[in-house]
Amino acid sequence: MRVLIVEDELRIASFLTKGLRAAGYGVEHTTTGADALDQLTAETPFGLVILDLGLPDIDGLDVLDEVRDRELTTPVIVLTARTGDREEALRRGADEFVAKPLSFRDLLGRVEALAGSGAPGSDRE
Amino acid sequence: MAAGAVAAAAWLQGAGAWSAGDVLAWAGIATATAVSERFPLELHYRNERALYSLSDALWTGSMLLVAPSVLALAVVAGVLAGQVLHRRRPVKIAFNAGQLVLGITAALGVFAALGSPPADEPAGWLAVAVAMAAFLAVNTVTVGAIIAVAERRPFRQVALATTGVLQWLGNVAVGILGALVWIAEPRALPLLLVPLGLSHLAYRGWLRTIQERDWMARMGQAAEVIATSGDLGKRITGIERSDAAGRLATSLNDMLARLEGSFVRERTFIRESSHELRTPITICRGYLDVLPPDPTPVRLLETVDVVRDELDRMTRIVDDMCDLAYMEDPASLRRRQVALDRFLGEVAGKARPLLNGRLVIEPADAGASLRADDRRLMQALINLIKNARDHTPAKTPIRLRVVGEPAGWRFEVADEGGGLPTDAERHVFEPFYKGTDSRGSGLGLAIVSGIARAHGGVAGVDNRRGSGATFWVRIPRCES
Repeated sequence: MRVLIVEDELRIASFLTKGLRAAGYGVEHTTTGADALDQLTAETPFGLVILDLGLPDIDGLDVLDEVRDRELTTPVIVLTARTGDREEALRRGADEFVAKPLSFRDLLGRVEALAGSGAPGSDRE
Repeated sequence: MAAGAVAAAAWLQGAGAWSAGDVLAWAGIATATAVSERFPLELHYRNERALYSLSDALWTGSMLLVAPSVLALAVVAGVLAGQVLHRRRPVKIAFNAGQLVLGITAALGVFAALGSPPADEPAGWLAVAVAMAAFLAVNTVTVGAIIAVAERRPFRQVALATTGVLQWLGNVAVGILGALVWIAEPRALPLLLVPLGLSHLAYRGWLRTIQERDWMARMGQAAEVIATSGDLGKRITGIERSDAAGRLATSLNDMLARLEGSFVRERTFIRESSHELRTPITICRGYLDVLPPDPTPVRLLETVDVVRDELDRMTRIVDDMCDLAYMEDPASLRRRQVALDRFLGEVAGKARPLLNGRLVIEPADAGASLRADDRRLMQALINLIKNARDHTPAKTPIRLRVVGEPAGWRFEVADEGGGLPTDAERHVFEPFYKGTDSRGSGLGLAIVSGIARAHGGVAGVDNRRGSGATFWVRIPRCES
């Protein structure tokens, strides 16, 4: 299954990529909300999105709105230091909310749970 | 009004039989009434304003001394004249005159019914007191009824509010005393004004004391609510005055607003700083979490480097937070006389290694000096220089200079980095405001601003969009 990481802090994206690849997932990374939306509507589908909220171009919550407006059912895990945005993110269509700093083991557990929940393209690569 | 007019017409019939003395008495009472109605004494309590006049006392005394028709017609003439001079509305004048004529007619009726005893006998005092009670009752009922109808309030509430029993008592006593003095020696009458004036002042002072006690209690209650609830958003209300109590309430409210503002800033700072520390902690923890049990030497080295680098970043953030916390306290400054040319040389010495030949310094005037904490000022300028370095293309020059101004010195760091994005210039000095390409703590410019303020100065930026930005720190002259 392919995972899209939307995160502008390169080192965070880097360890997420390493950890998810080691767990058998295909990983793509982008640093902006606009590019994330482009990639999500491209032909090759993603099984999961890990979305930071503090993006340089579009706020992550607006990216979330756009994803749901386009009727994309791809599960989204919001990964952010903005702990106060939990309720808002879940209300606007996030499937999970993980606050930074995080335990990668915990995040991986949630990724696996969502990957196994019958989301499109849930075969692992 | 109509009833008043009928009563006045009835009294007019009696005027035909007046002696010259009666006419003189009428003129005197009417004039005194007009003056008394024109210049009522104002007394304030809470947000109410009560008007007191000596008319009732005048009429009490007159009732004991002159013919009924003389008093009744003097009331009519005096009230009309006084209210016209007071520039009241015609409807109000007609209502007031009518009401008072009715009242005095009732009082004169009661006084006659009690045998019109003379002024120098206690029976006369009692009779005039009862008569003026009737006057008060008529006034209370008519005014109360009108207000109750006009304002749709319960009559009982309105009538009780307008009942001035204390004032009635005072007026009756003054009237009887006046009549007695008139009988004994009319020239002594002005002497009555002395105790009257003094008692007025005492009464006013007494009301003010009560009011101030009332305000103090209200401020105390507000302070107690704030102390127990911890809600700094509460304010002391209902004391909009310019006197001492009003100023105290205003000062307390200003103090609360400042306290609230500083608590809000502190909470924001704590929230922002914890948010800022989450990123390096996330990176350290993440790199360690995904490290395999048997890492390659390269992977291990990379992880160690990243963790060490992020720990450095956390150290910088924590150092900057401490700096900022102490920065704005002027007591933390160690001011001394600083020679500007030597100081700029020291700044250049520190900045050159950071800038790789990009620093251009305009020499300061020889012999110029300022009183400042040179270590802090150096920190501010190095922060500005680093900020310019981090947000401008490599090899573009960064200029440092100091400009003498009438009130102080302006240190400028100018770059050619294209200027700040829209809106950024308003926020760059706020703690944790960061450009998208910044890996700093977001506190560097806030520290610059804090250093400037601690010196009694200010920091700012002149943005030249498309060309560059000049950040500056203005330090006022300090002679001490």
